[in-house]
Amino acid sequence: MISMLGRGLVLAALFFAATGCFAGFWAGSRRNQRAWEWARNSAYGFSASMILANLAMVYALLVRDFSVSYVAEVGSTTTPLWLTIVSLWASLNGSILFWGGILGVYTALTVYSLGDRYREYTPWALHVLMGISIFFAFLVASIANPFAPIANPPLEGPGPNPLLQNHWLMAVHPPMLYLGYVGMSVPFSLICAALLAGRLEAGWMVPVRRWMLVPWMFLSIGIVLGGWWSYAVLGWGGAWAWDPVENASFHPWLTGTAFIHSAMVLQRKGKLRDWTLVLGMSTFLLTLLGTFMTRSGVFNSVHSFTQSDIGPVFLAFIAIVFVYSIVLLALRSHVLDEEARLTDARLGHRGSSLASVLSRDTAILLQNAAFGAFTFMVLLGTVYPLLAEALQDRRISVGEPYFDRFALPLGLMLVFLMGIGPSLPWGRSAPETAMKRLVPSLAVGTLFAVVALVTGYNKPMTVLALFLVGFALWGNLFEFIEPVTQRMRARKEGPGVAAIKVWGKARRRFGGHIAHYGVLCAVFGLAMSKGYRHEQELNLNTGEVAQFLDYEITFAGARDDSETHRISSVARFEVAGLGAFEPKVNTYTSGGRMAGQPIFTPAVHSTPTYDLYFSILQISQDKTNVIVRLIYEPYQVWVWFAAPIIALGTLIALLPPRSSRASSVKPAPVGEGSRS
Amino acid sequence: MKVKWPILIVGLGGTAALIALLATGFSANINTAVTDVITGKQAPAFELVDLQGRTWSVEELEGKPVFINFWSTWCGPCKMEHPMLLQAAKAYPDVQFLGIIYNDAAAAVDVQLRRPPYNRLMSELESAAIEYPNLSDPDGRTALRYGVVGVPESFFVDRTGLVTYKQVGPLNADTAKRELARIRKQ
Amino acid sequence: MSMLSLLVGASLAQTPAEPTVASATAPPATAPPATAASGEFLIRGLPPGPPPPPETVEQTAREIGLQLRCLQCQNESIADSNSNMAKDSIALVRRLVAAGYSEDQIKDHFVESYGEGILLLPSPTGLNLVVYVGPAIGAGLALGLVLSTVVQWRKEEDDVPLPSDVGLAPKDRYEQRLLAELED
Repeated sequence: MISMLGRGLVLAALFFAATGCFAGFWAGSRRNQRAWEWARNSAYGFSASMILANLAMVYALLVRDFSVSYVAEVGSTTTPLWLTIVSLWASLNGSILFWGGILGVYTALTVYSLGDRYREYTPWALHVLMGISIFFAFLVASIANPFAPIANPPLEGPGPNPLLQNHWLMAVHPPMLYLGYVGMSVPFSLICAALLAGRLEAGWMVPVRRWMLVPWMFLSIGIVLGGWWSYAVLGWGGAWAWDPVENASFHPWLTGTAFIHSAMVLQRKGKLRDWTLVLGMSTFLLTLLGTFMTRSGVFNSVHSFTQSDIGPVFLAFIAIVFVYSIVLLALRSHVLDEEARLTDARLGHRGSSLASVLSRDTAILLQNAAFGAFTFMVLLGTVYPLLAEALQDRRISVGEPYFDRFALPLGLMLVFLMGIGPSLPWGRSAPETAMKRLVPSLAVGTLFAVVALVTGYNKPMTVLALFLVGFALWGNLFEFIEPVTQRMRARKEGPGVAAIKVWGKARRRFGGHIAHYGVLCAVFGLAMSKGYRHEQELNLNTGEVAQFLDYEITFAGARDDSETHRISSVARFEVAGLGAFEPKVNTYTSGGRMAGQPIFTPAVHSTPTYDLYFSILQISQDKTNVIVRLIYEPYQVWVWFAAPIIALGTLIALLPPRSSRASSVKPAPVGEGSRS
Repeated sequence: MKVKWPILIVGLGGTAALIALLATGFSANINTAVTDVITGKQAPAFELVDLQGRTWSVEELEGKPVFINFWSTWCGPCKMEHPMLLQAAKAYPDVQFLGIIYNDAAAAVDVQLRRPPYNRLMSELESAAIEYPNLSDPDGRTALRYGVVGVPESFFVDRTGLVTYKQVGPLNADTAKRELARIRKQ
Repeated sequence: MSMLSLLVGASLAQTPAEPTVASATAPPATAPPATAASGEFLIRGLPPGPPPPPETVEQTAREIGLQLRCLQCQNESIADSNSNMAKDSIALVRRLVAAGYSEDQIKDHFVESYGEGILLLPSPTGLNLVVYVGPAIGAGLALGLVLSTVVQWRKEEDDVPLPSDVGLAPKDRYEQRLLAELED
């Protein structure tokens, strides 16, 4: 019953996607009003069908309808309620359906938010977005069909993967990443629309940039939460190991971040247009590549599902989208050149000015170069084992030591640029002005470094990292304060009024600075926790007391806890002054081929200045002896702080400007922005 | 129509390379990063004690074909291949069969060997005066030296002490026959 | 990250289903004495150097362990993994370090058994140079693009002051512009 309903909804989604794609093309090329309405309604139709198909699946999971193939694959009568819902993305077919559902949500929001304002572009945007939707609807309707009916339904299913069952973060981390990945198809469609329409006005860059910010924010949160999950579940006390699938999520984040910055140059100066478009399109292409890495079975990791034949189909789709993007850019971007030239002729200037190399423009340019090199390095390291195998039949591993080696200098350079950029004005600045503005940042950086040295954190890399954090922190903080003091002087206002007026007006700018603080938090946390991690293995018998750093640790004994869906071996440690720690080894009774596999779950004591981490390595059968790994990591939690701060900054940047200027954008050509 | 050739050429070239590379991934298996670097080389030396307390070393066995099997009682596939190996040991008395216990307790092995079908096969070997010792491998040091990743893994060593074949996972009878024939050659 | 031996273990059925049982006999994780049976060197035919001070063994072993891949896991080093094989491997590294073997000798020893795939940092030779030279070329190319772009920008620069700038000192001019920018 639900099988038929779900399948019907998926087929409807496929139909709507196809008509929407066609009607979008028609409306774009013929400027046909009826075709436009048709395209828009098809888009809404796609959204509604896909979202309903997801709800149908959730319902099937909730009522445990094992006649639906996906429920029979991941469902189980013993799983708790929250897990049952989470099972939607527990396995391949469900995750593709979920993907389609999120695409539906994004489609509806995009169509709604663009409204009738950008009629030259929107039909084309829908044409591309619905083209992408065709593919995903096709997947759900064919090789990844989760609604296949089962003639003789079993009475009980295997239940979701134990790794999914083991931590609540698994209810949050995957959807965040999906929201990031799937959402990148929106800016991609909007950029393609500009190329197809042959126009790119500053006004159109507003939705492009906003729609990049939304999935970028989710991607940032998803990545940080993924690290947190790894830390909380995997028992090695780290957040990031440069696993191929982690890298896959990092690529689009890198290019997306570069895009957000170069788009500012494009909007203000009309510069870096092709490059910005390339970045925006690459971000989407890299999310597809990331999905391929996760789902094809070519790169194995904890994230990959059981192998399926989805890989080749997905690779073919990637090839098509790559070729489409490149051909579109190569054939159409000269049309944008013409347009820019005409605008310049009309305005009588080249719409830019750069009197000094010392400018925010140059800082962003360098930042883009660093992000580009970073992306290339991570991508190269990730796919290199394939190359070595293909050319020389050698098995090579490229792991953490490799990526760390290259990521460290690139990352530190980016933090440095993060401090420079906001301190420098757009366009031109006299060298002496620029230096004057950088001196306080340098002073704060030095202060941080000195404090680090004095408090005993004296490893060169940590000191350098802290110097840069202080340097960048002040550069961004000053940008908060200076405009307020400016306004106080210029308008004779009090600090409070001036602050509200200034901060309220330039939300985009200040949102960006706040996001920078988030990144700085993570850099600070990583520098300290990686640089000053202490680790020790202890082999203890019941009642035995041991010393780890300044902590006196007693192994109070171990026991078995039994719940309906799992059995936990719990070891209890008492730490003088801190209380009890109870790391566990969980064994799940359900979970298909993974059932019965022990999952080591650490116990962590987190404070703002340090984390103390207990992870069981072994418990003897009679529960009298335990080998435990103890890890001390200073300032680890600061890494997690990055997620809410970045989200806050992005949300502030996304708030619509109070003055309705942006919404009534006249077709102001790119480049004019710098003079307005 | 004006075309930006650099974008087209670099872009399509890069795409073709990337897609081709990813496509090789379907047949490649970069996930088992292990390369077989043992086959064709001298069998790594060991000196291990069996369950009865007797010491065995590779040097001692020179001139005799040797079959080495890493296994443990908690491993399902090992149980599947084990009876076949015991029968092979009886069929080829000139080959020295050795079991090396991987990550397991000697006591557990002892218990398992006393249960059917092992007890019957072991006593058959005993009555034929054939030794099939199981050696304890403290800290898994021998397994690590032989590049063992999981159990079962088997190694065929010829009379000169060269490893001629390495089997990852359970052996089937045909492979066992073929490879035993190779190491039995003079 | 690392994956637990879980996935591999489950698919190949090669890892203990219940290591808490299987490992009851596992030795303590502390470094055992560094003597080999029968007076042989720990690595056959290779004499170790002078033994390091005992308090540095753990740290050195961890540093080496971080560079060796746990082959039972996915992309996890033997220093970080919880799998049995990783525990045996890191214990061996500890013994070798304590006996006085150098980092390179220990890594070579593992490569001799498992092949170069066990190194998480590929050796910078032959085809592997791709991953070392590649990023450098990429970074160089990116820097070149930055330079050429800046040069181009400077050529296009117009020196006409903005209308709002006329008659202002450079500092005020900047502040003026800052306020204007905030209106965007």
